[in-house]
Amino acid sequence: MINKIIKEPLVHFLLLGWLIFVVYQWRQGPEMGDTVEVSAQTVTTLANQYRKTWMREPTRQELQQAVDHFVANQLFAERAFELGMHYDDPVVARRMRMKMELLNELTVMPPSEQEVAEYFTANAEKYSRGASYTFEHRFFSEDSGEEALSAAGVALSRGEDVSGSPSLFAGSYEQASDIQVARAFGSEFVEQLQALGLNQWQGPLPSPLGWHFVRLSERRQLPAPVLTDIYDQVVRDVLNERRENTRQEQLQALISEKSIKVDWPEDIK
Amino acid sequence: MKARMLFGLLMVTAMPAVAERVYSPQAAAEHPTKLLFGDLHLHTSYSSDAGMIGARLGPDEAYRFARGEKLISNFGSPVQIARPLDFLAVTDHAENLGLAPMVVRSDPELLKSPWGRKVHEAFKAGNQTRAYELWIESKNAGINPLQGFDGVAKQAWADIVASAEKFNDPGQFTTLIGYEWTAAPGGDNLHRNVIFRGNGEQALTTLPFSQFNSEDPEALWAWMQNYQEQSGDRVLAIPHNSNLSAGRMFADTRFDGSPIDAAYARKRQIFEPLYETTQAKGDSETHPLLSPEDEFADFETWDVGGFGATPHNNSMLAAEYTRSAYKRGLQFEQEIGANPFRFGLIGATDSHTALPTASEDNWFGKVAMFEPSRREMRFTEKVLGRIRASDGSDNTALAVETSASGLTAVWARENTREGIWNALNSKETYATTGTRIGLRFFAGYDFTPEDVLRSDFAERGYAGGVPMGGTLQAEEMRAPRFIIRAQADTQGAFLDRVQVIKLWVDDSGASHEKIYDVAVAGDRKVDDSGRATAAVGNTVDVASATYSNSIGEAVLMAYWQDPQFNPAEHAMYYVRVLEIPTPRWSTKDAVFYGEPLPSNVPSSIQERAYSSPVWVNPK
Repeated sequence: MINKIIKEPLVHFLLLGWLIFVVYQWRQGPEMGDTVEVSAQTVTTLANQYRKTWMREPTRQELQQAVDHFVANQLFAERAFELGMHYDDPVVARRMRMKMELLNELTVMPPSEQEVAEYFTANAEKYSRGASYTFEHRFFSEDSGEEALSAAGVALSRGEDVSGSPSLFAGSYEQASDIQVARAFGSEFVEQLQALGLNQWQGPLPSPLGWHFVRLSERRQLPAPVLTDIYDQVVRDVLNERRENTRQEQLQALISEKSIKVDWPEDIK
Repeated sequence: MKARMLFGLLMVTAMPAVAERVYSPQAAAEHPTKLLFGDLHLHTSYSSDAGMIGARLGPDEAYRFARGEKLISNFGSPVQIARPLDFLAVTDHAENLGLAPMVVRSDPELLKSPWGRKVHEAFKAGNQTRAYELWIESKNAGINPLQGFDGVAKQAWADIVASAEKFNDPGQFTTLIGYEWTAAPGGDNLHRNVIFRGNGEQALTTLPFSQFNSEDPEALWAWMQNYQEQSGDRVLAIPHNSNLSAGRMFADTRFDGSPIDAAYARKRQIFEPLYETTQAKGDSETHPLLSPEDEFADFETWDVGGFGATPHNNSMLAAEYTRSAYKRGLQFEQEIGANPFRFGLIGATDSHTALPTASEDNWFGKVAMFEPSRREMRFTEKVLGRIRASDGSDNTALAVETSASGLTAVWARENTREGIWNALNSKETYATTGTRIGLRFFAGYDFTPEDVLRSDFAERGYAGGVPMGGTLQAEEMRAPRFIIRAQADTQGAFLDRVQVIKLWVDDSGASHEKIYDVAVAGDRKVDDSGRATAAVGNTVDVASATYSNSIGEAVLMAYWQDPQFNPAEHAMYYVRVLEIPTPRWSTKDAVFYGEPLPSNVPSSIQERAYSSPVWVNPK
């Protein structure tokens, strides 16, 4: 039970909210009152920022400028907040949303090896390398008439060899993958191969270049990739999914606290 | 004398081993069966002229994109290639390789250098332009600003090699290790891409040779030879943008100004078996002034000289284009007994975005700033001409003039590093301007018109002749015959025509060129001079940026015999295949963004393929 609660993302979210509140209280930024206090910690942060940007120590004067700048920002911000100027500012809104989402992303834990393996198994289809096809093939040019095509179909099914129209297609393909077939014949052709029966001449199948007769002797599901070979890719996918999920949960949690009313203008249907 | 002996040794090691006889007919199939398409010239954030100006994506992203993954581009658009590539080489500039990613991650190796700290400081302070200028200044001065701080290059090279190793998937998708040597003395382009056959372990025994080491191509070859001897690996170099070399890429002289001799010519043949003839910065096949009778010569032509202040003039053209270099090469063969310009052809993107897009409808620009957008920059930003020519002439090239080009096609035995590298080295390659035109041909003496139709076309071709990239020995009384097949891109435009372009030198030493239309779509006639002068037509609807395959043919074939063959002459032949007209990328842009059509480029183009030649040695 406890385990289940600990794993629940909503619990993470609420805990996080409480934590943020505590931290912000404890940090004691500049007081919103009669004085603006700049803590020693803030000055150190400003000096560090300077060092990071300019790769050297700020002079006393440069640091003073940074502090003045900081104070000015605080004063303006404080007055602006009092006036409620941040309410209808889309830039502020976007920044705040970004901050919240970023904070929320901190709760996304990198998956354990076991979790990666589980995800890999549950999403096997996503990592499938598709099928491979072994087939004989005869090409007929676009302008081959219906009669010629049906005669060819009959002859092939009787076991006679028909060479078809000259082309750069091969007469046979051995274990060509989905991607390789799509490169040679176009992606619609792959779908047609998927539906064909085995060991008999079938056609004519259309492609952008002309007509095709095919005798499929093998259609084989390619072995799934080994997890260790694509481990990084799976980790990326897990993290992406988790980030997206928590973002949605966070949003849903916020929505559930409010009722949302949109006043649609009459001229928009 | 000594040099000649050494050189003989080198020739021997470059020869392929004689194959043992194999009983099984299947296993014995010696000839290539796979037509593969890829890009051998692509930059990522690891190139300073990409990473310092907006390219965010690195080698990993380049390989992921090429094998078909959907990515977010440098400037934030979703982007995906229509069909995955079969192979890709990331070829970042050797000069301060990896500078941008090292700046971004504040790499300690970079920060050891005072110059590195300066660039880092400017970049982190938000002044990326200044950071880029700092790099360009030192590069243009030819001084390595990170001299003595090899740790940066080592780290970057290790990253690039690791990325290639990670994504190499033999049989499905091949990554080739490579880099670009970026020599451009005075702004005259002599760039070469170096492509490795071997694996990461071998590549990591060296560091890329850069223009800071030397601007002389012969120094690069010496480095290549040394690397091959040390590692047991093989490398080849592929020059590009002769059109921007101000007459230096195919010059009559060596780098030091002395005349080309036979030893130079043979060395160049070995180390540079290929040339990249079409790419984003223009097409280098030929120029309208060099080939006035070729109505297709003016294709994506850039007429600006180079990157620097060297003023351009028409006397330089002959040393700037492939076709004229081929002719000059035959003359050299006649004069000094060796041909310095005996190379096959490939195409590449040279994109600086980590995104090898070469389609007119999916062109993500030459550099990150030119990614698809309504911003004016996409069309009007200067690519060349920031440095004005010293005589004040106009040497500007704008972003709208960049070409959504090209691809390398190879006929390989296997989709592996060895399979592709060997095909490159034997020149069984052709260039396309970005589409996947199929092309195969053979030259020999015994072919008949029926051979073109045979179902074992390729077996017959290899048994009775040589493929593209090969050499024939001239025979008395018999002219070379060609059997040719060309096939439209499965998901592209139909074909207009197939041409054989013959180049030769007569006994007075004068060079000539002649175009033969050997197969044309529709009921057009080829006249007695070998030309079909009627155009195929144009179905492009500019208002919607679309075309239709209602003209042209899906497959064109030809049997052709040279009607004017003289066995005493040095001669060569290559094949050019033209598609029917399709909308240029700038036309799609105009429609997509609802902007006016740009007036300085054509609204439609005829994409094409250029084969590697077949040479005929005179009797």
